[in-house]
Amino acid sequence: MVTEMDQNVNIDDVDTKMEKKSLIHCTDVNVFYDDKQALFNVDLNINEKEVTSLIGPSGCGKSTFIRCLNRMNDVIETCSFNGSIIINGQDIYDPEIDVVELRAKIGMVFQKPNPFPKSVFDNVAYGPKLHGRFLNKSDMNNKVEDSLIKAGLWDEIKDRLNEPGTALSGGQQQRLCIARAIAVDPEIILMDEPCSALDPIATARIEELIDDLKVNYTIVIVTHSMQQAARVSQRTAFFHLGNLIEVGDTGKIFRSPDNEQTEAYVTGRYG
Amino acid sequence: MSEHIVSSFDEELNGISDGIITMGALVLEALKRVETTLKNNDHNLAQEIIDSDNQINDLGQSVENKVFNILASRQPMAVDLRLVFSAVKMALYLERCGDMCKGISKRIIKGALNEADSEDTINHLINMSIKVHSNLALVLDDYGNKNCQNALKVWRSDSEIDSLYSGVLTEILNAIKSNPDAINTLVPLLFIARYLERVGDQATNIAEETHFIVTGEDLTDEAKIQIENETTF
Amino acid sequence: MTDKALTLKRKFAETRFKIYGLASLFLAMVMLVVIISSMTYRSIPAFTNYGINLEIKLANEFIDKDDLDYRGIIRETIFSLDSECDDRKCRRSFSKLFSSGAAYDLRDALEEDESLYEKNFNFYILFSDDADLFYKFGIDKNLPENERRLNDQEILWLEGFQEKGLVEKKFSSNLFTNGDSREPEIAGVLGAVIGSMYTILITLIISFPIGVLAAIYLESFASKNRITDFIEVNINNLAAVPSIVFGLLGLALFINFFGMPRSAPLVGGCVLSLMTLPVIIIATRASLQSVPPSIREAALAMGASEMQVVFQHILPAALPGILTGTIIGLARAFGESAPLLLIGMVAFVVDIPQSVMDPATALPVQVYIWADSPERAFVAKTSAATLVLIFLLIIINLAAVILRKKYELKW
Repeated sequence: MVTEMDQNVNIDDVDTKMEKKSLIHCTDVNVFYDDKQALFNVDLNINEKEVTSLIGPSGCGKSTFIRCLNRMNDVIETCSFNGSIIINGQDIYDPEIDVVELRAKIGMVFQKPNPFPKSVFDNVAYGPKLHGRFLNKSDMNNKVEDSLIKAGLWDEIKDRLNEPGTALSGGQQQRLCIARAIAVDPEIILMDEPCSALDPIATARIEELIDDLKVNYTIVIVTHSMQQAARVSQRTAFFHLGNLIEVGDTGKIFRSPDNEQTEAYVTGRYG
Repeated sequence: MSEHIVSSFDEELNGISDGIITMGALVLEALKRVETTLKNNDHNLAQEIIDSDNQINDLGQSVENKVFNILASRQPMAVDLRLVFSAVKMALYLERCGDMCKGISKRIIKGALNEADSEDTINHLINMSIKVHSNLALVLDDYGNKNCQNALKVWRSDSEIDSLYSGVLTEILNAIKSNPDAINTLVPLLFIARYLERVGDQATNIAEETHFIVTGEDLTDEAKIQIENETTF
Repeated sequence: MTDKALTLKRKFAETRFKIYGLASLFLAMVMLVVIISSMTYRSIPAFTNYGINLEIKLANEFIDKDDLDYRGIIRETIFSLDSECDDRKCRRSFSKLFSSGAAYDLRDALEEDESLYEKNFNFYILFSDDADLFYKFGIDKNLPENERRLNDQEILWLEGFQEKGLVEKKFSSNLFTNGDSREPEIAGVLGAVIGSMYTILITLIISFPIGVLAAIYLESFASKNRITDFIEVNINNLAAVPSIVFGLLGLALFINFFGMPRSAPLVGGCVLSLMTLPVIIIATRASLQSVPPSIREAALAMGASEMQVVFQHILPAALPGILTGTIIGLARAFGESAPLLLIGMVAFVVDIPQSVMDPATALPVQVYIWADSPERAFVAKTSAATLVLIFLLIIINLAAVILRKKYELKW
C-alpha cells in the first residue's frame, strides 16, 4: 500500500516514501499479567528495513508489546499472550517454533546496558559461538571486528578487546550490546529505550548508528523522548493504557496527528 | 485542548498569539484611520498613522524573539509547532499591512487627494478600504477564535476587492488618456489603490496560515484555485 | 528544641553509638585473646617431652633382623642405668618410668638407617607420662604414697637421673606424627586429622554436586507451586536441625540398614553431608539470586536456552558465593563431633586410616576422647589438639576468602 504522498514533497524524499514491505504482522494482540490486562487488541504492522518507534506514557504497554515480538515475555511466569504475530509468514507463537532460533533472528538491546562480565571480544563472539557459527578462529575474529565496526565502536576498542565489557563507559557499553546483537546477523533489532541511561553525546552516537543500521535491519524502538522518535523513526505508533491509539508516518504524527489523545501526548498536555 | 503540564509553556504560547492579535488590532486601527483620512483628507491623522507604524514593527520583532526562544527551549510539536511556526509569517504579513497603510498616508500628505477631481475614484478607494478592513477583521477574528469559518468567505470577498481594483485601475488609466496633464495627480491614486489591494492579499495569506494552524493542512481547495483563475487583471 | 540543640543531641548519640560499637569489639577481642592464650599456655607441655639419651649396644650381638626383640633391647639398655634392682616388682616399677613406645621408636630408627645394626649408637628414650609430668610440674610428696602416681622409690630414681645430668628436654613432634595411644606422651592427632580429612572429602564429594545442582534446579527450572514451596521450607528448616539428629539417622540408615562399616570415614562423610547439604543449597540459591537479572535477560535475548543461561552465565557469576558457602559448610562439618559419636567414630583407633573404609576418628572427637581421659598429661594434649583444630579451621576459612577474591567478577 503506497503511503500518502505530500504534494510539496522534495524530489529527494521520494525514495524514502517508496513502498515498504510489511515484515511483522501483529493481529489482535492481548497480553495479561495474571488477571490484569496490559494490551488490548493491538493490530500493528512493522515494515522492513525502517525504524518504527513506539511512544506513549509510562505503563502504556509499549515495552510489553516489544517483548512480545521476540517472546521475551515467555520468561515471565504470570504473563499470558493471545493473538497472532506473524514474522516472515510464520506465526511465532506456534508451539512448534523453537524460541531459541527465533531469538537468534531478533536482536534486543535493553535500557540499561548489560554486557556480559566477559571480555569485549567474548561478548561479541558469544552469539555466533552459541549458534555454532564461525568455528574457524580467523572467521570469528573477522566477524567480531565487522560487528564492532558496524556498531561504531571498533576504533575506540580495537586495542582493548580483552578488557572486560563492564569496564567501558555507558555509551560504549550500549554500543557493545548493539554489536553483540548484530553479530548473529538478525533480521530485526528491538531496542527498549536504549538511550535512557546515556548522556546526550552518547545518545547522539546511538542515533547516528540507528540511521546507519536501518539500511540493513528492521528496527523497532521504544522511546519516551518524542524528539528522539521524531529524529530516528519513519513510522510512529502511539500507545495509551494498553491500546494502540494511532500509528502512522512519523512526520504526520508530530505535525498534525489525527487523534486528539495523540496530540495531547506529543504536545505535552497529557497529565 | 487541556493545558500543558508545564504552565509556563502555555504562557509563552499565549504571549505569541497575543502579540499577533495585538498587532492585528493595531493594523485594523490604522486601516480605519486610512478610511477616515480618505474621506476627510486629514493630514494630521495621516501623520498619526505614519508615527504609529513603529509600534507595529516593534511588536513584530518581539513576536519573532518569542518564537526563537520557544523553539529552542520547548521543542513544540503538532498544533503548538504550527502555531509558533506560522506566527513568524503572520507577523510579517501584518507588518507589511502596516507598511501599506503608512505608504497610503505618505501619499495623502503629499497631496494625492487635493487636486483630484475624480470623486468616483476616491469613493471607490474608500469602498476598497472598508472591504479590506472587514476582511482583515474577519481573519483576525478567526485567528483569535482558533477556527477558520470565515476563510472561504474572505477568499471570495478578496476577489471582489481585486475586481474593484481592476475597475479603479481602468478608470484612472482612462482619465490619464483623456487628460494627460493630470497624470501627476492621478498616479498617486493608483498607488493608493495598489496598496489597498495588497492589504487585501495579506488578509488572504493570514487566512491561509490560520487554516494551517487549525487543520494542519494547506488551503489547497479546488474552489480556491478556481476563484484565483476567475480573477482577471 | 533549637536546631543547634538538636544537632548536638544527634552528635552525642552518634558518639555514644560509636563507643558502644568499639566497646563490644574490644570485649570480643579480649575474650578471644584470653581463650587462645590460655589454651596455648596449657598446651605448651604437650610439645615438649623429657627423655634420656642412652647407648644402645648392638655391635656385639647376633642380630636377626626379622625377629628382633626391640623391647628386650630397650629393657636391657634401661637397666644399665640402675643395677640395684633384682626383683620383678622393682624392675617393673623401674620400667614404668620409661615410655612403652620406645621399642617402636627403636624399630623405626633401625628400619630407617640399616647401618645402625652394626654398631652402638645413642638413642633417645622418652620418659613415661608420669615421669614426664614429674619433671614438668613436680609432685606433692606430702600425699600418702597410694594417692600419688609415683612412689618414693620412683621419685628417688628420677631425681637421681636429674642429678646425674642425664635428663634432656626436647621438642616433641609426637603430637603431629603419631596416632592415638593410651600413653599420653606418644599420643598424636595424625590419625584423627587424616580421619577428618577423609570424612570431609566424602562430605565434599557427596554434598557439593548434589547441593549445587539441587539449588540450580529449584532456582531456575522448577515451577513455582506449592510443592516447591514446601521443599524450600523444609530445606531451610533442615539447616537448623541439631547435628546429633543426623547422627541418629546415619546410625539407623547407613549402618543398620545399608550395613556400612562402622567408624569409617565413609559413613561419617555420608552423615555430615546430610547435614551440609541444606547449607550448600541455601548458599547456592542466594548466590544465584544475587546475579543481576539483566545478565539473564541479555543471554535469553541472544537465544540461549535456559540451561545455557544457567551454566554459561549465572553459575560462573555465582561461583564465588557458592564456593564460600560450601567451604563454610565444610568448616562447620569439620568441627562437628556429635553425629560422629553416634556412628562410632569415637572408638579408640590407633592406626592411621589408609582409606575411607578403615575405621577412623575425627579431630573434634579426638579432642573429646582426650578431654575425657584420666591421665593428667592428656590435659595439655587436649589443649594442643584443640589448637590444631582451630588452626585447620582457620586454614579452611582462609581458603574460602582467597577463592572468593580470585573468582569475584567485577560488575
